[in-house]
Amino acid sequence: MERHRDDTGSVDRLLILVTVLIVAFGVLALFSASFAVGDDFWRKQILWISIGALAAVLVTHIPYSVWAKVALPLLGVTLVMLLITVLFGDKVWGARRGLVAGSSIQPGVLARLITVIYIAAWLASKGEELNQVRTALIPFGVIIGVTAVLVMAQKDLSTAFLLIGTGLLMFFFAGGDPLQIFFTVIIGTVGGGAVAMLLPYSRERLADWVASFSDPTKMPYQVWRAFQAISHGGVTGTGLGRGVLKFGYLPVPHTDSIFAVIAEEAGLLGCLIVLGLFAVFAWRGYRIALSTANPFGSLIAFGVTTMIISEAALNIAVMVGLFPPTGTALPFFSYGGTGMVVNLVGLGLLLSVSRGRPRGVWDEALDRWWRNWRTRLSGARRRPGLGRSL
Amino acid sequence: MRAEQTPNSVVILGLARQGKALARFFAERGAHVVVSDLREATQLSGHLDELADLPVKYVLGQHPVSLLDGCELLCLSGGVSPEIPLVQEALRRGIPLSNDAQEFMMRCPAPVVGITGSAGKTTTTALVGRMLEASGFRTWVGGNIGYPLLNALSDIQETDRVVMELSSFQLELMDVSPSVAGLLNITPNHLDRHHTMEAYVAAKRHIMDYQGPQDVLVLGYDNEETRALAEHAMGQVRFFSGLTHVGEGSYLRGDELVMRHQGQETLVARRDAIRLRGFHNVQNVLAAIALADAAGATVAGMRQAIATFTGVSHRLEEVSRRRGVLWIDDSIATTPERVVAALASFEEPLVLLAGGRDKDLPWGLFAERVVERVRVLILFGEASPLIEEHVREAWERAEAVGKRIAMERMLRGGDLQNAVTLASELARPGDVVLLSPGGTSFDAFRDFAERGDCFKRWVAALGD
Repeated sequence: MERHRDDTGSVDRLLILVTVLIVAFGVLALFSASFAVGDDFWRKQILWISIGALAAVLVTHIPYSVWAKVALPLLGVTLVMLLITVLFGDKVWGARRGLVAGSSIQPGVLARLITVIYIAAWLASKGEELNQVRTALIPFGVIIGVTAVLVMAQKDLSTAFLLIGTGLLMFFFAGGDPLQIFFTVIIGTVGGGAVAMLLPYSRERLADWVASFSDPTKMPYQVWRAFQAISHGGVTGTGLGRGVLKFGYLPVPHTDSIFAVIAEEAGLLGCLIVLGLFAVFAWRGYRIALSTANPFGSLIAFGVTTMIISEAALNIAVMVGLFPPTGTALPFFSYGGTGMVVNLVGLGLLLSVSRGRPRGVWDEALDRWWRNWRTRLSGARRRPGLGRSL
Repeated sequence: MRAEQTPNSVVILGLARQGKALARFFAERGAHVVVSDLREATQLSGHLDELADLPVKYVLGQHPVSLLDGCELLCLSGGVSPEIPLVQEALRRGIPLSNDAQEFMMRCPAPVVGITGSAGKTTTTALVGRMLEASGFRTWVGGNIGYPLLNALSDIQETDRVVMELSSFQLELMDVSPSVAGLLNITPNHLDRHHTMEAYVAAKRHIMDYQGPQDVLVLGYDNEETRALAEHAMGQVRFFSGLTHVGEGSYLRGDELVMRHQGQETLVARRDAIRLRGFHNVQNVLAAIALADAAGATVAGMRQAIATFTGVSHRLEEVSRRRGVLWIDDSIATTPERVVAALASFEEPLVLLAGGRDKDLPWGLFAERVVERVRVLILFGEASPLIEEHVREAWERAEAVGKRIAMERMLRGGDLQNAVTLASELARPGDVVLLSPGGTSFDAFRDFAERGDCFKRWVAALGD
């Protein structure tokens, strides 16, 4: 693992550039998709992007060790929000005279980022104990499990799935025992499969999906329309704004199906550009993760990158029929305030980590304060011998 | 489109409008036609005379199984249920079923706009017909309303337009869909025949299930059931909504009826240009806009049709004004839901004539509204006791909760004629006497049209 000097202090410019390109392409695609559903959407999205960008700039300049300290309270708040949503329904967060009238916050989306932060802090504090099932894997499973269940209770299976996946990958990255992870994955897949079979709506989708490989007429409606859009686009596409399938054929072209709109209008080339942009994003993100000596920072970077990339991968997989439809958004493209802000804040975190290990008086004070908090975070014992603080 | 050869031998069940049309159609094309009806010759003399010029064989008074021997096609008229033993036997023998709508659509050279829904079909169909006419097309309107179009087939040309109202009974048997299909709304209806909502919905869905990618499906956005059907559409989906600004289709924007297509918004008409009462009619007009546009109507044509359309007979139709009292014929309201919509169209105090024959439908909401809005309730027909019970319950509940109750009297009028007499005695100047039964007319009349006509006659006979 290569190690940069910890005090480079400069953000990863290529990452910023890639994200700007992705967001710009996203606005273009949303603008086109908005023809079919209403002008408000792309206009509001610009607003969300502005808010998110501001937040990102802020977060970039906050020394990232702060997040480890507030991880627990943040998680607590998120779990409460999820619980409220489960009890009182989605509408409780929406249509208030809040930031933007008629929009709503989605706690599930927020939960993904907060859990990444919390898991990163928790894993970083575990150190060598990561391989002990009792103090590591089990409590980890409980944390993720509770959050996932709350998310699933809102019928948001895909977010729960991504949450668990990201968590497991972070566990692995932190140095978890591959054998434990393997067994967890097996148990999880069986368990998750059982859950999916039990719940009627997911069972139907799963059954249809499996059947669609041999019988194309059984393809889920959204996927069938997506295929039509993709094939209509060909290699170079119909031209930006000139797609026809978004008008009354492709469901929700401004959210879940936006990739199909891109496929129709920008063709195969457009799709490859999108994939390429995400690939570069992944490269820079994982590079930051691998080159940061600080465990917490490295885990944050890994977690955020995985969070974004896995969501993109899932959305695209659904669009091309490789996964049963689950209702995930394409990050930075799909219309959605919470998602956009969360993802941009994630970018801010990545950039903050890339700036390197914070130094200075402010940071010394934080370090001292942190040493007192660490024990409370997870009951972890101080690792013997390693004098380095987090 | 299936090959439309004429079968050699056709059996038609039921001799009414649709049955006669089918008989004439196939007989003129050289098929051997047998018509069977459960009524006797004496009851059918009028119909029999009409077909006297054709070599049609009749089996009356019963539906014997021997009808099916050598039969190549079994056609059902409107009132005949596919559950009767003869039809079941035909299915067992592999004999195809059909009806006049199917036979017509299979052979029609012009594009067909087909409209179905639990409420609003007839008004929407008539209005779409007017819109297309006003846009310059030679338009044929028929189906469930008016006369069966089958006999006009030879006159219809490719450049014409056809607008058909299709009932769930007709759709049940059909496996061909119109190129422009309208599914306005789905609420519990006809449960005496379809037995379950699922069966009812499945029947209605035939209007869209056989469409292709070039076809258009117009769905009601405000009704949950029809909105959800977008996921199963084979053709392009357009919505109409009185509440939401939909992405593709027609909607109400403030006071304006707007059409949105491929991102372009076009103002079609203003709300006050609509000559019909009630919000449900605004939705019907919006549906008509979306459908007519899909069939090629011009904006000018649509605008003109809206400005001149005063509605269909027996639908909130003004009958007369005498002594300051307005008499309204809403005999088409054969479900409690329709009555609820009718009640919402009036601000004036109401004398409501309700009753008829029930179709196994829920009366709860009806009862609630009646207690809130109707001053005098006069019941008639078979369903009187049933309705009375529901209204009594609603009245007690409203009293207990302290809700505002408008109802002063509820009484049984026996039959409709007597109810009319009672109404004329009890109505005060400024009232509206509304015949909106909520039940079918089959307990005492041939159909809702006859009930409405009798009502008009009796009201006129009240003199002044």
